[in-house]
Amino acid sequence: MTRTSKYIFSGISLLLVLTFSVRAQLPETQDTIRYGGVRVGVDLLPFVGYFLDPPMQGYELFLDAEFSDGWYLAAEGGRLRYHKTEPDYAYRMKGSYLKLGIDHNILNRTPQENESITWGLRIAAVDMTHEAEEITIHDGYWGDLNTSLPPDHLRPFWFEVTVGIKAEVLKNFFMGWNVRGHFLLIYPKGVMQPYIIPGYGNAEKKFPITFNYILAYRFPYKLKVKVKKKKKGTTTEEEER
Amino acid sequence: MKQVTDIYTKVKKNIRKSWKIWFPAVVTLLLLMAGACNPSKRCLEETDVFMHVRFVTPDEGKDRDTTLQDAQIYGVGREDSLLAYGSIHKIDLPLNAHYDSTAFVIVSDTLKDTLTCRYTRTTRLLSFECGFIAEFHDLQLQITHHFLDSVTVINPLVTNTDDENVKIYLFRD
Repeated sequence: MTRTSKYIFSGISLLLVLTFSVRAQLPETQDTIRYGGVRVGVDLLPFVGYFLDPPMQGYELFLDAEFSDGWYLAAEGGRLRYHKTEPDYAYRMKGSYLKLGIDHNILNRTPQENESITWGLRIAAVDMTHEAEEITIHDGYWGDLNTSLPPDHLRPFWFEVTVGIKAEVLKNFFMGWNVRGHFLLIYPKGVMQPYIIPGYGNAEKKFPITFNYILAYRFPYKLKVKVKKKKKGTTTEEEER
Repeated sequence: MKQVTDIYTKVKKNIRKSWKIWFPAVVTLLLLMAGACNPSKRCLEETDVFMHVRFVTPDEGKDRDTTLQDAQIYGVGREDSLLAYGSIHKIDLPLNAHYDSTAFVIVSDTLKDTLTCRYTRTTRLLSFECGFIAEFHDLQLQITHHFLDSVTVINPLVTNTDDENVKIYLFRD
């Protein structure tokens, strides 16, 4: 097991231990009903990125749905393209990616509260192509090399660990951010190694960290989570749609 | 473990109580970070690629650095352009990215040897700021033996690092 794998495993283990140990201490209070929902949102950082580096153009959409008290199915999908023409090369890259996984809210909330502090796991994949033309590699001794690299089709897979927060700033409007650590599972093999993998980040890093800044709207969804009172030393939970 | 979970629960309570204060603070911090992360548009990496060579003589089981006197080094086909001359104990040689092999002539006093390098060529995007570099993999070497004894490949990947690639052994006096 590599050092990075050990860190990831330790981190996940700690999150699970904390989650279940804190939940185990919850007082068995009165019956509660909380409404879940489907949140649809957009990551604002790609738009900020466009102003910092205009050849980088992309977007990322976000969707999650609470399926049990504090547990969410989550998905992100996006596109990224990079067209850059420099005196010594012209580079084109584009790709679409999809991430699927779960989030867990570790906050104990009242039925009226919707803020969250979450950890999550994702499995992600991208379908990308890239190519380079008009490459000039300067060589003062043997002479400059002019070459090109043909279009290359790659499908890397990776695993993500996320930590983030979301707060309901207006009724059903959420703002939040999260930090993501990426761990590449299937490294792309091709004519040209990519420099950036859409949705992943710098391909040369073993564990790149990225950020999302999310603006989301919740469509109230009739998911009711009902927690019954403790009866004869047992606790039961049931979900009604 | 109970102490850890108690602290954890207290922290969560405090975060919840004051989230309307810390949430905007975090947002501001994040935006400042985004501004600070504005990538430099200058290339800050090494883009020159050389095969790093050191001349040595075996001495009681160890390699002793050795200087060639009255030396000249040039590429075959570029006799008009010396890569180095004079006293030389190490040199950075440019491999030819146009072909799968490069030969160099090494002259010391009146003796002359040829070092032939064979490799696989690739082109790598170093970064958007620095552009592309040529890399040379699976380096294999041959030498003639007028004053050079043998050659050892230390690192068969020739790229934009300072890692030593080759040791050339001279005959002991």
